[in-house]
Amino acid sequence: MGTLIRYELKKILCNRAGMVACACAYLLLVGITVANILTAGIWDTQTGTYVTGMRAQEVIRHMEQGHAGVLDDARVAADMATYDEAQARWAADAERLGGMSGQQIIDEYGIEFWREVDRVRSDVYYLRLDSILTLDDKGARASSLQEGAETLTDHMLSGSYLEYFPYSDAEQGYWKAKAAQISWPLEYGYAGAWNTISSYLSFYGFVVLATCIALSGMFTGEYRDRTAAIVLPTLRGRQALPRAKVAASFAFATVYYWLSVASTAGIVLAALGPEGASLPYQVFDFQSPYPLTVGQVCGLVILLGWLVSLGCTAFTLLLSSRMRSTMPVAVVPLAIAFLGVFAELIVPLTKVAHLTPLNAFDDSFVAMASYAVGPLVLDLPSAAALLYGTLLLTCVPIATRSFTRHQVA
Amino acid sequence: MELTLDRLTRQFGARIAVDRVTATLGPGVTGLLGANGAGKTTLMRMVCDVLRPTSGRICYDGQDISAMGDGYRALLGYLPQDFGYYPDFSALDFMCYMATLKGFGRRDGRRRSLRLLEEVGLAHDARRKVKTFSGGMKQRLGIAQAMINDPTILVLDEPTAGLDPKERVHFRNLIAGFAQDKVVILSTHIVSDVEFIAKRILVMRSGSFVMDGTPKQVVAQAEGKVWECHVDARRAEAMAASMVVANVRYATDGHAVVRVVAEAAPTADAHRVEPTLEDLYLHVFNDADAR
Repeated sequence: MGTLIRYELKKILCNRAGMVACACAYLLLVGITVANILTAGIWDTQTGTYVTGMRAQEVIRHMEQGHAGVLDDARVAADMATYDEAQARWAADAERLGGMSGQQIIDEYGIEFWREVDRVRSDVYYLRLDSILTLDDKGARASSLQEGAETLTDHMLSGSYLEYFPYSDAEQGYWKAKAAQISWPLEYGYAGAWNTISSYLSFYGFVVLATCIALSGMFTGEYRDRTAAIVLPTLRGRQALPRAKVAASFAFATVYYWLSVASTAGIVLAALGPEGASLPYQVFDFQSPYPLTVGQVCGLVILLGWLVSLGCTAFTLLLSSRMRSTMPVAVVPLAIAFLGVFAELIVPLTKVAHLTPLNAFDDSFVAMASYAVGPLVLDLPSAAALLYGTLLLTCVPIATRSFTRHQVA
Repeated sequence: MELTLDRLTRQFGARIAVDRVTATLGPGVTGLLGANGAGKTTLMRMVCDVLRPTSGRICYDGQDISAMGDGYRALLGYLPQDFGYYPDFSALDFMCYMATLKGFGRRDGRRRSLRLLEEVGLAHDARRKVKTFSGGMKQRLGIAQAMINDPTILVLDEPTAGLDPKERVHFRNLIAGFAQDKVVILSTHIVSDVEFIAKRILVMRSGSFVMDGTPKQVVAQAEGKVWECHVDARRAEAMAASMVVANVRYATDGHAVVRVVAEAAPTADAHRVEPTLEDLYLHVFNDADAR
């Protein structure tokens, strides 16, 4: 079996179009990751200069570390007081300040003013705090982060997801139970590498699509190249060969996926450092109902991505076993993925579109989308795992059976 | 060792490609002769279990091959008429791959592959990629893969297509030596492929066997229907256009010796000659064309 699998891997690696697609997706992923790190730019509050690249990353780290600590009620109140004071000082001369650049503010008002007013007003940490604590249009504020987050969750659950899909009682109970497991007060800190990794997870979808292209000829190639006539009437042509094809396909998909993940995550972690993995996921999104750490969410999305990759591989094998040309086999998964991206813009289709390959990476643990069948409720990552797991389990036997029963006519 | 075709039929839509064919094939070369479209390839595919019959069955030593499954495929060697290769594999890779598919371990498969490549004259090209091979070389590689498992049943569909005369002779000798205790079915429309090595000839037309016997018995069907006559060159051309002419040999004096397959003497001075398998082929398929 091992020898057959090696030959099937060789066939995959000899598929030029597939290898070009895989190389392009890999280079795109690595290129975007490196560019994202090197092109970052930010104002350095210490020096009052605009810095880019690794220096900017250092400044971001320094700023976030400045906010590190447990966000208990006293700390939140103090931070909001700092923010409110900055807003008030800005409002006193807003008309003039609004038209000035950062450098002009430093030149005219001094670096202290710029640091304490302009920088605080534009610091994402304060903006996110303000956003989660603001309870209504009149400016009423929650006294704690927990109250703010729970109020916002309650408000969302009492309405509808995207103002179209009403939450059933079971769904409301599901999300509330999940949110209740969050441990308050939150600990805040720097998790720059994990933030970058989670922001670019959707690009792993391209790795999955390139895998589909590379594997499109697994069975179809035997029909198209008329090699089925010599491999099928052999001792192992109908049993071991399709199994070897499946094993080689999954081996290729797995190695390629994890190579892509390891390369990009490795670059990011090496450049920005691994700290922050144990911080609660709420450091990225105070409103998130998931009681998970940053590292757990990144790990789960990456694992889900692997399952998406294997599910799409199984689906590609099914198409490959039923079609006579590689082109439609390669095009169908691409079409589903890209139509899914556009379908997300059509609200009634959004929940289905969330489950398509590119969106499953992007929306998992972000969207509060749930799928309810009576009392059974699944969130997006669980529904995606169920879908791609089902594809994996159902498509493979049908594909091998189709190949085994192929008629050379 | 017996392969039985029992009322074997294959239909593609309304077209019947193989029509209730029945025969029992034993050891030795069985030549399957027929024009293009006679149903030979469809029959070969059914024998190799890559195409299901519409009705009828194939048995090996009394056992239905569809029930034998891998047990039957272990006995089989097949060279299809129209098949592809893995262009990026070397000849040795391809042979080792086929050996693996036929159940051999790596070392044994490699040893057999090298021996077969030697036998078909590809030993020096073993490490060349198949995509660089000529048509004849690919055909020889196809023959080698069919024989790598020393099959009990060897099915060769148009095996000499693309081979030069020297390669054809070499191939014939290879098969003649191999077929002593094996069932070899060799389908062709090139009469000389089977004329000297076949123990039995089956002539196929429109999906059915129309003749069955030893080469001698089959050729005897054309006994008294093959003529030679001496005519001038112009007459020879006219005869070629209007009769079944097996051969025209031009002499230096402007005359020609014409070999004609016909029920009656084509000219007054024509004399009967010994028929060959090719004459019989022309006789059978000319009848079909006439209909």
